[in-house]
Amino acid sequence: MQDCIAKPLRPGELLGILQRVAAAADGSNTETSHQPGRVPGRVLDEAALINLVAGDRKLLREFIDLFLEQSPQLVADIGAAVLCGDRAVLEQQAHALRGAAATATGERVAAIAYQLEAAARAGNWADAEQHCATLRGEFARLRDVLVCARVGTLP
Amino acid sequence: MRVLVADDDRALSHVLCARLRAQGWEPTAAFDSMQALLYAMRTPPPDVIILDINMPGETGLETLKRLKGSARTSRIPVVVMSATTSQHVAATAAALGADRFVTKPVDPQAFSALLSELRGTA
Repeated sequence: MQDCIAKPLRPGELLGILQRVAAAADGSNTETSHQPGRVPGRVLDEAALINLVAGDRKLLREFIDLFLEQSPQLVADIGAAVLCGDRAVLEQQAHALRGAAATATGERVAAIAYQLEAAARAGNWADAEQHCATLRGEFARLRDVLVCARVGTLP
Repeated sequence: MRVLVADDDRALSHVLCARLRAQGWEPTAAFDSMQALLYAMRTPPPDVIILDINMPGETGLETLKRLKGSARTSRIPVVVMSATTSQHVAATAAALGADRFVTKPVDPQAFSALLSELRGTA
């Protein structure tokens, strides 16, 4: 748990919650900033996410629930495709994850999914394996931030 | 006005439908190509179709080709959306009859304006 807030929430507090949990997740990643494979962008663009749901907390919770329901399977499929050397599945599932993550404003996950798509097209399995490992870490970070955001929006 | 939202990304589809509903549209969601084709053939048909390129079953481009090739659905405006920024894909969609091509992430607010514009030209 990266942030805790007393209920009930006041108007405008939703963005504050998201900003804090996203900043905490970004901060935790600065330790790896000199390592190869560092992904550019933010874990979550909190203002864009609020804009996506027009500030509607209920809709935000529903969106997060659906994202967290479907996206882990995409990450698992990507891992399996890399393991099996299946370029078609890797490209398709990485593309699907890129779209889903971009909608969820998870910039880093979207960026690494794009790199996986490119690796699949090029048949570059060394890059694919490295990106896949990076993806697992970045996806876990995004998931944690979204779970925090979801808890923070409970009435 | 009826809008068919065809995308297997259920999170995006849910938000898009909710936002469009709030702005007076009557959205229906389809999560694969076959479902999209079936809903498009319904009576009354949708006034506008939003079609993702990457769906289970046929690709969105193949679905677009069927929609534009059928007398029942050829006049329904279709907005193709994709996470790709490839000009080639956008050009292919246009050649197959797509009325607009939008890149993900999409802005639901802008989408409503775009649909209204297409409704006027339908």
